[in-house]
Amino acid sequence: MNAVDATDRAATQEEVEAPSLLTIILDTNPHAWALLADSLPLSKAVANLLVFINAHLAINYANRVAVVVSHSERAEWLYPTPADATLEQAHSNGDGENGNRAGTGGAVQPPDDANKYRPFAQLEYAIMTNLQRLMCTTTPAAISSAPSTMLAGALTRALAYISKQSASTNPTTTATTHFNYSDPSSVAGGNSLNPSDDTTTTSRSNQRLTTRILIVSVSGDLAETYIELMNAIFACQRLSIPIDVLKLAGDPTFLQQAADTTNGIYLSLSNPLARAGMLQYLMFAFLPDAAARERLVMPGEGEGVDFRAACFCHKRVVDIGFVCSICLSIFCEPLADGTCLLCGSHLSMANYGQKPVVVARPKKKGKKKRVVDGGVETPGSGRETPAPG
Amino acid sequence: MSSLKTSVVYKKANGSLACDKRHLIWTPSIPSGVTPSLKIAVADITNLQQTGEASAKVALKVLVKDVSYVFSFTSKDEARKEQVAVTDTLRDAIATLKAAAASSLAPAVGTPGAAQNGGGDTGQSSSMAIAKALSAKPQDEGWYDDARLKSDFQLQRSLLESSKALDERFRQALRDKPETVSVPQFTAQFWSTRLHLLRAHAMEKSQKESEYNILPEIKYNTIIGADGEPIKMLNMTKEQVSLIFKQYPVVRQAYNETVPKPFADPKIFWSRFFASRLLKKLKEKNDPTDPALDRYLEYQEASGPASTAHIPHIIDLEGNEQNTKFHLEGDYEMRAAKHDRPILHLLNQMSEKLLSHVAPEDGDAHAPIGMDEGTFEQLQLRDLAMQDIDNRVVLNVREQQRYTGASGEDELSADARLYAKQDPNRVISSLQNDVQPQNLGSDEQGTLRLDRVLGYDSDDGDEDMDDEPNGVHTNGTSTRKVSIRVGSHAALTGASSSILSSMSQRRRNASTDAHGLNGLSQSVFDTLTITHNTTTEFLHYFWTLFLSGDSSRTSELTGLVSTLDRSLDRINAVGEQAEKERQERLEKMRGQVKEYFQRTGKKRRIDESAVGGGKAVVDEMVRPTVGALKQASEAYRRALEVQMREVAVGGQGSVG
Repeated sequence: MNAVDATDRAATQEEVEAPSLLTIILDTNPHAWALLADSLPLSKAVANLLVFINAHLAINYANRVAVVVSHSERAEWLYPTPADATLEQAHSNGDGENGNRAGTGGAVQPPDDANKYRPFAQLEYAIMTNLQRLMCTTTPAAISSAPSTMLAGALTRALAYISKQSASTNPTTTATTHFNYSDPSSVAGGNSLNPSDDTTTTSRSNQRLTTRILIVSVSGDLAETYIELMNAIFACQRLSIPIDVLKLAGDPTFLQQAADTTNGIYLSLSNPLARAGMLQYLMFAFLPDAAARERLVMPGEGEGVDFRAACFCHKRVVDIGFVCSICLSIFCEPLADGTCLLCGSHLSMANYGQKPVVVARPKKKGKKKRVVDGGVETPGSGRETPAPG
Repeated sequence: MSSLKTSVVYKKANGSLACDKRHLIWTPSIPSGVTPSLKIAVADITNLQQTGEASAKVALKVLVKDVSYVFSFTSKDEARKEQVAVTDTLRDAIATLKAAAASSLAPAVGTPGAAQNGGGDTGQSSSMAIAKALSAKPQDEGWYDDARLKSDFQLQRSLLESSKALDERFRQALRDKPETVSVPQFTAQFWSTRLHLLRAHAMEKSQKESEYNILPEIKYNTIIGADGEPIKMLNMTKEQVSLIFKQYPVVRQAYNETVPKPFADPKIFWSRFFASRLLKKLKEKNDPTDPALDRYLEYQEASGPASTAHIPHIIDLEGNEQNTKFHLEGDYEMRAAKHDRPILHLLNQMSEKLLSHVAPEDGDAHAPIGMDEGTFEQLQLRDLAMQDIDNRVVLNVREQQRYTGASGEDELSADARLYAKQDPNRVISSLQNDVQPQNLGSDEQGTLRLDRVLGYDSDDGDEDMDDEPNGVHTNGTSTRKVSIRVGSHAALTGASSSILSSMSQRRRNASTDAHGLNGLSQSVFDTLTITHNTTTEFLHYFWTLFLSGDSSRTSELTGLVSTLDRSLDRINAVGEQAEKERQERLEKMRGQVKEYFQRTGKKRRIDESAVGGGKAVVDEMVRPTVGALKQASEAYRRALEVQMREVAVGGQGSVG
């Protein structure tokens, strides 16, 4: 009896699994999904994802999930539903224009079904309606101008959410309210964007929230936002948030690096048969959280990571490039005025990176001159260049 | 002093250029008898450049650090000759100056011992002397100069000697280098990529151990002489003598003043010296201390000059009690005699308790300490935690639009080109249809019946591969000949097996890392490593040369390309060697099985795939290298093709 105090209770709570936050970034590039329509339509993929999410939520009552879409011209939340979208949705439902279009499943609230675990139904409903809304608000002009996807933006949103959730899991305020299972407006795992609402279920344990990101990607061409993307990836690395990648189509360059640097799992489903087994890949490879992964041999392609980078000037993916010796920016060709685009250092190339000459020519005056010009600009002659030593 | 006088034009003014071993003097000719207006010390000249042999204009460019002086030789017939003469004179003068500088520096640094060490490399002695001279002056910024590092052979050699791996790589690459590449060219290239190593080595060398104190090192050897008397023997080396002279100039002075006259023999001087009070005085500074006896030393000297030296009371620990004006009675706990009072212990304990409730600086800043949240809030050292100023530098890529805007159609990726073929309107409408609730298995109430959509049925076999699952929308594209149903049994099994195989591969990779040889013998592996190293070396060389745009080195480049091809042969040779080894091993195993069969009548199978090594393993290991080789030679061939064509066209043009 005397032992009933806070210290002992904390000790017993150690036995409980740490809650885990799964943030899914779904690439909804319409072009790419249209190409995949034959082997894996978007609806199927989403259904598979929903099963996966439900499995994740079922493992631990405190587990949470968030879904961001990386659309062709913007990144948006699918789940939890952002506050302004909820309002808007209520509006359009009042008109009867959007919500009840299908006649089935268009209710404002998820239907009450005794056969379904309530949090699942809520989550499925939210994701479905938000996805519908997203597709309805996409204009042809928008997708024709943007060939790729806003993955960097989506990653940033995911990271912001994760940091907010992590901060609220280890609260500095004393929140003593308990999760109310009978309240129909409360959501599984406290998935509100407002951190003050969901300190309830997990605030009593001092365990850290383990987080991870799963990117379901269908498009390549990420070089356009290379810097932003790599920044997000390195942020994940710093926060030790693994980025798992499920690549359904497209060029793998940077996502493979993302998985490799953050110690995540990279799986590429390149043929229709593999894509048909998407659910199995999700459940088998991506379901274990960070705690479980410590004791598992992880699947995925560990070898042959494509470590190429994109240049800062033309956004080309380069094999051999030029690197600013001061700030390490990457360029695909020598800079015209010899000034680094990023840090403004004055750089000189000596005579590297000229047009190759493989056949000796009798006349070589013009060529020589160019070399001399390049050589005159010695590093260190520029005033602002820091001494490279 | 031989002086050379030539007529030149400098800055469009006629004049004469005179040159002796020290200076290069230019005198304008217009006001005759004027004093020389330009005088360049030979020692300052950093570089000389002349116009080509065939050139009509004869000029000499003299570079003094960053300033250059161009003299055009105007003499009608003799211009070239004069220019050559001036250049030669200057060159000689510079060379002699450098040598003189080196030799004058050498003795200052070269102790006899060091000279002996360097004795082996007589051929390099002058450059060695320079290197020594330079290394003796660490403040010399010359070590940051790439060109000097590249040309300092002695330094390079010593670096090679100190690093075995590098030495091996260098030798192997030197052996395999193409004929067309001369040794200087090769070494220049080799070191140009390793300047940092050279610099580090130079630094390291320049930091030598300082001199030790020589006197305590010299000890007597006591030998029992023929007459039974102990004789004290003193052995000194030449180096020790010179060190003594260097460290104790007074001894040198004594030696100079006494050796020819009072003492005929240096031996007498030394024996007297080692018995002298002078020696004791010199040694005094460096005597080892003896805690037991040294205090008597001090006691004796209490009246000596040391004790009368003034010590300020404020730092004089002994004087404090009596001499200070302040009385420390008020500071109870500060008094030495009272340090063990119980009240002080109590105070200390209280401080400890207070501190135990303060968040440790290295712990989690947000974690509550102690029981009470309120107390924690009060105690948390807010000014120390999480308040660091954000001092990041924001970097922006400037003028990016200039580049990205210009990307043409041809730069679109394969994906983007596929996308461009699709009609955006149709894409969107099909997707809008696709995400309707019924496609997600929505039933009458709107509950998603995911199990229906997934179409997973544990009983279904492979026969219903072509079946459309219930309620799946075909989204209008009736052209699809359904191949594999999403979530079919076959697909899921395939997924499982692919994941399992990737797992087992990962585990294999993780477990064999310790050995890493994959069944290759150590010798084959070493050969492979060396081959790989040299190949990388040549690839470096190739790209540097290839991208240098230097048309005078094309033959060198051609040779290098053939070397790259030969590298491929060498890799293959290693592969064959490994394969041979593997076969031998297999043969041996088969022999054992046969013998076992003859002995016992039982057959045993050997798992040939379990025997590692062989060509396959080698090929797998060097796959990236081979890829790099291919890419290099392809780049070369492409450039060659294009330029051959250009040359052919250009040739016709010039003929026509």
